[in-house]
Amino acid sequence: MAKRIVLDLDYCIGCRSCEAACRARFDGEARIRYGEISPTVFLPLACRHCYPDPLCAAACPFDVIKVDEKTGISIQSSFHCVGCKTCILACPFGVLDENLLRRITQKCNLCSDRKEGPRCVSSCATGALKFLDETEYEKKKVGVRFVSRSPFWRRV
Amino acid sequence: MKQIPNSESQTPNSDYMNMTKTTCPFCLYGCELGIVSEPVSRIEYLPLSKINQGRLCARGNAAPIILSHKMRLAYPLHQNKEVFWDKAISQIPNSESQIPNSDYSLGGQQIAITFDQGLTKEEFNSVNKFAAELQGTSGLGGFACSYLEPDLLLQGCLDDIQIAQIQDIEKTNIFILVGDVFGQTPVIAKPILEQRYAERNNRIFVIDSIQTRTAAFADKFLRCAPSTEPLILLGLIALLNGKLTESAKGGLLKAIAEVTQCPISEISAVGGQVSALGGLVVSATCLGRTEDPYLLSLTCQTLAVKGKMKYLPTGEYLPFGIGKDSFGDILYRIKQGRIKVLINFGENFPFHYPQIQADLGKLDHLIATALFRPTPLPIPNLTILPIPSNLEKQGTIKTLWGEAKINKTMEPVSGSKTIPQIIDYLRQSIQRGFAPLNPRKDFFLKPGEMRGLPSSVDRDRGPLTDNGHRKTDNPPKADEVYQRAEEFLNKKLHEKNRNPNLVTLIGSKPAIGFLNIFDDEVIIKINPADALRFKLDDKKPVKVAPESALCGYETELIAKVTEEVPPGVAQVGVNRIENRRLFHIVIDKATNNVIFTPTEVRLWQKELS
Repeated sequence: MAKRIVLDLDYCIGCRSCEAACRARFDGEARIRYGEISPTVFLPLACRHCYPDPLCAAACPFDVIKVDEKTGISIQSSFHCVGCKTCILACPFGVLDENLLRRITQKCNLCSDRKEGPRCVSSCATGALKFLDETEYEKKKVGVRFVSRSPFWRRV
Repeated sequence: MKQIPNSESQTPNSDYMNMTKTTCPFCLYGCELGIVSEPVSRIEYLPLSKINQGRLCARGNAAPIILSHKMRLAYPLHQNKEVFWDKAISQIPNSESQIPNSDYSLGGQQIAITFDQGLTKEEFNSVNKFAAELQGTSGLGGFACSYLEPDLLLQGCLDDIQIAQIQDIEKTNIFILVGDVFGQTPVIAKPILEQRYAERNNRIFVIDSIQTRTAAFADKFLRCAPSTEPLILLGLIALLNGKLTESAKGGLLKAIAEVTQCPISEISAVGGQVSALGGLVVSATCLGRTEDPYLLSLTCQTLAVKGKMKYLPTGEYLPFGIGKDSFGDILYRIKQGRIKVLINFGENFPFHYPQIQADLGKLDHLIATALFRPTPLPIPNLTILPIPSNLEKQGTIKTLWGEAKINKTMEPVSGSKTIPQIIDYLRQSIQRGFAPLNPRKDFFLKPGEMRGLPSSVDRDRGPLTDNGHRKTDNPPKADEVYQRAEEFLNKKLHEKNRNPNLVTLIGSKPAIGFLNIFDDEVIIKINPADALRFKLDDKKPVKVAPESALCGYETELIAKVTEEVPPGVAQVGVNRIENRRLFHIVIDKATNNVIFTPTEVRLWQKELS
């Protein structure tokens, strides 16, 4: 299983530097957004790269979204997207969004152009976002350290 | 092609041969980052950095956008029209005949020099030298720092204060965070939270008037009325003061609880833990957040001294010197008509301070340097000169951890000139009308003065003299802090009841709003009770106007109804210039600092057509 972005809620301060890093790379359009669950809980929202059958890929009428079998990452071809927004409707997490400039869907590709991994993870001001594979994040156990807010490791 | 400055590059990726490592110049934390200039400018994170381990806040991430921003100024502007450099520089009057109604000797005291954000040490020294030359020729109307953000006032000034270093965070058990520390300096959150989670008994206490990102992580959040944070700190100082009798402490705490609306039990609980374990006081403030940022700074530091704690002030910029005057002095002389020409070196002034633009309109000439093309300002004879950003310069900047080098990551934007080049132009222009420039040696700031102190700190607080200079350098004593705090407490105790049709507007300055690159800050946070009272709907446009605005200024924002702000309080981001304009300015009589205070505003629903 390939690596995924994982969020440690205990460290996320809602500073949105992940969003800023993404926007700086993609000409002002962020592929990771920021949700405010409550005044005390903040949640960066990015594509989960569902595997093996992402609903966005199944819904796309033009097969623009494909799953890379090696890495398990679902990648969208911006060139072929017609902006029908079907994938946005199909996403069960509501994390896909429209690129307002180009009128197509924009989707996180885990910065596949970058060896070090996603920019949002590198940039995260508190280290709350991590880029881990499944075996690594399953080792993280609830209650390893004293946490007052949320003892759960959650996948973005 | 640029080479990596250090052969042992801090990037794990050796492909980035054209990467230049530098220090983020946008706040005092001094994060290290890399800029890859080719084929397009982009940022690289340096995971081996000892300061930030590659982590960056939104300010740092904005670096490549600033380098190629569409609004970067690439030519001088005179009266909002593009002009050549020669014409722009020639606007400064170089003879007496060009200064109408002159009662003074040849021009000298009618020219003032100011400096604000974005100057390196080398540039500051050039400006200081130029000011000294003018002073030596025929007197200078004023030399002051025009960086008016209150975070400047937080910097250390008590004699026995211990400023913390980054490694001190790892030794701390109790953190007292004043203001939105995590929101304004997000990178500092990681070491603090790691330390908090390291031991069961470690604690974070937050003192603020609104529920912020920082307060969300507090073990105890001391929520107080707007502007009364220094009084909570005064209460904690009183609890640590062994000389005060129990009855005196009780009386003081009762008065503080009445004004701050924070229960005595909560202040006492925090005071008890602080006295037992010591800790670290970290402060942050911003424009419009508190009525008396200088008092906030002094009480934070006094608490640190009394509790044998260390102190860590955060902020965006710290100049290398403080000038000979307060900006309030300069503004006073402009209003009197004594200063006719103002030359400012820096990035933000006067564009970020709309409240003073009307007064600046009284000048015959205002020459200001800038990074971006501003919206047309109501200032006649305004000349704007483009300068490179700190990412396009080589030099030294100040950080919380000491001086740091910045490297030239790209060639300066076409058409801009460095500050030493601009000073050379000005020197030639002025010399044509004046006697040869003779620097006054005693004009330079002494090393002892160059601690980054605000101008209010290193002078006595007597009345302003005619020549605008004060006499002695008197760091404030702890007794003065008590006196000032008690005066503030008395003032608050006797404050008249507020108009129920108004709310108190306070400011916040999150890093994500930096220059409005990533966030437009069009949100105004309103308590549900106020939303009900003023019939405002969530996510709908709302009109906001200062209560006593004679100019009739009003702006439109989007309401966000939330419990984060208490009833009677609204909050806006102050990175947005239209929002800054809502705040009143006062000039502190004791220190002559310009202060943007929380302001009473009216709110009403915009009628949708």
